[in-house]
Amino acid sequence: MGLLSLGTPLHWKDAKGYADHVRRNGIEQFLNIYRHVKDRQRDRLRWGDEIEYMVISYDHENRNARLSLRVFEILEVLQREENEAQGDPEKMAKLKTAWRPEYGRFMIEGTPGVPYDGDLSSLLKVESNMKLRRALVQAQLRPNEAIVCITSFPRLGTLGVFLDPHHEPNGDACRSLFTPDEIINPHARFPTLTANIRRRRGAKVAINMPVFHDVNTPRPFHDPTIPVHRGLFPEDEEAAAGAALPDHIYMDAMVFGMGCACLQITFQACNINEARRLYDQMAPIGPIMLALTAAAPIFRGYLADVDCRWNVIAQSVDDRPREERGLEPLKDSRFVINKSRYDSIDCYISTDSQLRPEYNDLDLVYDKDICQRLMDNGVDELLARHVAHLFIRDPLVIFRELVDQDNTVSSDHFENLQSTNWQTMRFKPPPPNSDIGWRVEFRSMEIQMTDFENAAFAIFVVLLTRAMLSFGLNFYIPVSKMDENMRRAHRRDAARTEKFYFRKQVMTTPGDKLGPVEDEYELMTIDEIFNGKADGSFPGLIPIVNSYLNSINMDVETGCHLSRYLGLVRARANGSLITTASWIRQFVQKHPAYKHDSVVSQEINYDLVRAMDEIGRGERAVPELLGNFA
Amino acid sequence: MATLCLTTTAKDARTLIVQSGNLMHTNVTGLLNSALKRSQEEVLNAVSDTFAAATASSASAETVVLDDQTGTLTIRHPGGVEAAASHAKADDLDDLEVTAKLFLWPLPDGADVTTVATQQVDEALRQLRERVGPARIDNFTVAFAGFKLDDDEQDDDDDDVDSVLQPEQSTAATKAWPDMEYLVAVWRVLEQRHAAGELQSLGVCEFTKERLATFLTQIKVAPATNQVNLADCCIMPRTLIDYCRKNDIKLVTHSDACQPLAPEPLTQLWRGQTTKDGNAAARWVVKFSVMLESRGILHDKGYILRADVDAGCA
Repeated sequence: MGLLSLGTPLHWKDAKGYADHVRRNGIEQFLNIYRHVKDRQRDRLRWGDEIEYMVISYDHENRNARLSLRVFEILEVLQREENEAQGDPEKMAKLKTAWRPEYGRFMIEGTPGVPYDGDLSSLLKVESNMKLRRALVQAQLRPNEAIVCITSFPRLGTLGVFLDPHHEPNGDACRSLFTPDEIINPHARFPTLTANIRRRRGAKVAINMPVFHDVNTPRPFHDPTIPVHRGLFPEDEEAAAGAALPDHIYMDAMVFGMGCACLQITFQACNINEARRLYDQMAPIGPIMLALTAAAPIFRGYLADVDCRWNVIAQSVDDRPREERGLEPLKDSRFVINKSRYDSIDCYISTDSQLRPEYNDLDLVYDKDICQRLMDNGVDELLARHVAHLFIRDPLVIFRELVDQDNTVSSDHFENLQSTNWQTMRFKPPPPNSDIGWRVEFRSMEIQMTDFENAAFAIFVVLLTRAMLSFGLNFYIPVSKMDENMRRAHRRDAARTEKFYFRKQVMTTPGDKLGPVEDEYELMTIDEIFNGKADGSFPGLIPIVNSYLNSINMDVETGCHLSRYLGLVRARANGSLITTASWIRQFVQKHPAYKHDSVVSQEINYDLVRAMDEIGRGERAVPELLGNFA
Repeated sequence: MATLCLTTTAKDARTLIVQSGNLMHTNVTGLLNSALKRSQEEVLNAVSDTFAAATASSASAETVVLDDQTGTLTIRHPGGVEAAASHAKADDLDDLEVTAKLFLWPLPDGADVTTVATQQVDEALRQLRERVGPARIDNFTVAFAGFKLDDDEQDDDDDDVDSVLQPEQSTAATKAWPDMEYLVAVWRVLEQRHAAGELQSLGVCEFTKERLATFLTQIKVAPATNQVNLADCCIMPRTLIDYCRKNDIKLVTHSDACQPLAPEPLTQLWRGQTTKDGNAAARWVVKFSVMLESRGILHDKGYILRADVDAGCA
């Protein structure tokens, strides 16, 4: 896959001239799909998880854990079975696993070979398939290598050696002070994406995460490890010119974000309306699951005052020039845009009567002409606005050879924009001429160290969608409140200490008298959201899921496994078990070499990664994290 | 709210049939916690909700019907009538999967077991069909109201039965309960329906290994499933697991209260609809659910109750 040549990627100065062409044809491609499959009905539930792994290379002698850049060799072996099965549906249907490269050259994405179906007993395959994936990668590793589920690699971009093999940070694509281009997936698309984001923005991306102020951390904190006067690229001046904020961990490359790993779930809905409903109803769950799965408290060698990756990724691909960010009057840009391409969703899209117009309370930025064109072609206003909102962006990577396409068989131009809008939820039209239905992707969760935890969170989300559809649950809150929840989810130990906006009455009956929207939600703890309120006024998501399960004939084995998974989620939510982020933070703070100055040294990182590796392999007991469930 | 006495329909009723609405939509199921004790409230709430909805002024004529000949008063939740109509003309019939559970109460003294068993099963299945339409009934389980695994004295002493399976206060007062003669008679009727293709598989509930072994010698069609209550633990008697595996009986979970409908609250509910002298005693309850199999969605769920009644308002 990595060797596949798609052609010549265009430099931003050439690519931007094709932006309208790609948008125009992308919309035509969307319309062709929409016309063709908008009435498609009765697709089965199919779903799958995606796990991103990092390959670690230990240097035991120097007590260093590094990211291995050998992933493409490993991928070639892992993908062999799938490549050989191409064109043979019988073989494809028997595939156990599927593998993809990711943005980081040290990352591997693994999924089940074929999607799971709606049968409850298929939930038992999830964890064992994850274990198989781990074993398959493991079998390709050298003795000093390991496959570890880490959301954000703690020492990425630090001084010294964090890559195997080591490369100096002097690449022309990202022009980073901290990371070399060799860390990027070598496929032409990725370095171009990196460079074109910088070129479009007119500067390097500037990621700033608040540093965790420990007792010995200087205040104000000015990171001494930023080579502010390097003078290799013009962009090297940006850090000193204000891009690097005091009291923050500054990062300047896409890989700091897109090099993070996450746990994503994709569902096939029975038709377009169910997909739109799933999209809306699961959106408010996104920030809540982000807080509960928080696993990223360290960036570029420093303890951060946040626990999650999300904002790092948002800032790492923020291609908006100053005009689009509202810092200068619009001259060359068409819109002032409130968010990065990678962010929480901006609007609900369901046709359901539960959706009150008041919930869409952001002043949605969208391309009015595109919206009108979609509506002229029979797309309803809500969906037209959603697509026209995605299409305010420019396509970042265009291959010269693929500029002209047959819009009846290709969706490349549509996907060019669709797949570079990385939001908390993704609404996915079927690929042209396929037997795949309308799908929705749930994207907020961080990766956990063990297969058991990742299975538990994946399964919880799947069961919640089933309970939601069965009971007709209503999770709507205004979009602005979801955004506020995203902010809160990042805070240190948010799962235990923060409150989140959540809907008070999730069981609504059509015809209920509607009160003011502000009366429909309130602030709740994660414990209350998942386990219910003590006064009985809110049932809790886990009791709701149990209520769904209780109405189903389920064999004992399935029941026992599901109760372990739900038990873990319940315990994380009520705070009796800590989040992955809290565990990592505590590990660092208790490490004998830690100087209480926020610095996660090479030695601490070595011990931390080894511990995470052992936990992932089930060789280290962590009752504070897993209780007695695993 | 109009009580049944005021409408005079209940006066001559001797038998009460209650068909609930779709609990997935009336929210009765969801509002309740999953806790074991609550599943009693679920049946009661479903019945009470049906009384209220069926006697509301907006309800149609078919929601409260008295058969003068038999003295049977049938009360249907309007939502249930609606659900039934939609099931009847479902275009995805092959995707609907019904599971049902029949709870039995002790027979009145002197009843002829075979005759009553036949009547009860016929009536229960007729009512179930009316409510869920022509969809495939995948599993039909029979349970004794007020009976659970550890009430069974034949259970092995050395089984490692976890604390949640310890006996609670049994509400079944009758000494001959569970009445295996009654169950066998019921099972024979179910076997015929199974042979006719109407019920895909049959199940029992809270049976120990010993009870299963005895039961298997008395019947022709072996149960495909045995329901056990796991609450939040997964410790099961080893002998039961082994026996079921050997005999191809699947152990499945349930979380129904062993007594799904206590006598007093039902009587109170009935009196609320009639007079303070009214009486009601459950004969059977059917719990059912309708799944959209390909999507894992619970489409419909409800209860049907049959009780012997006396309105006390003559």
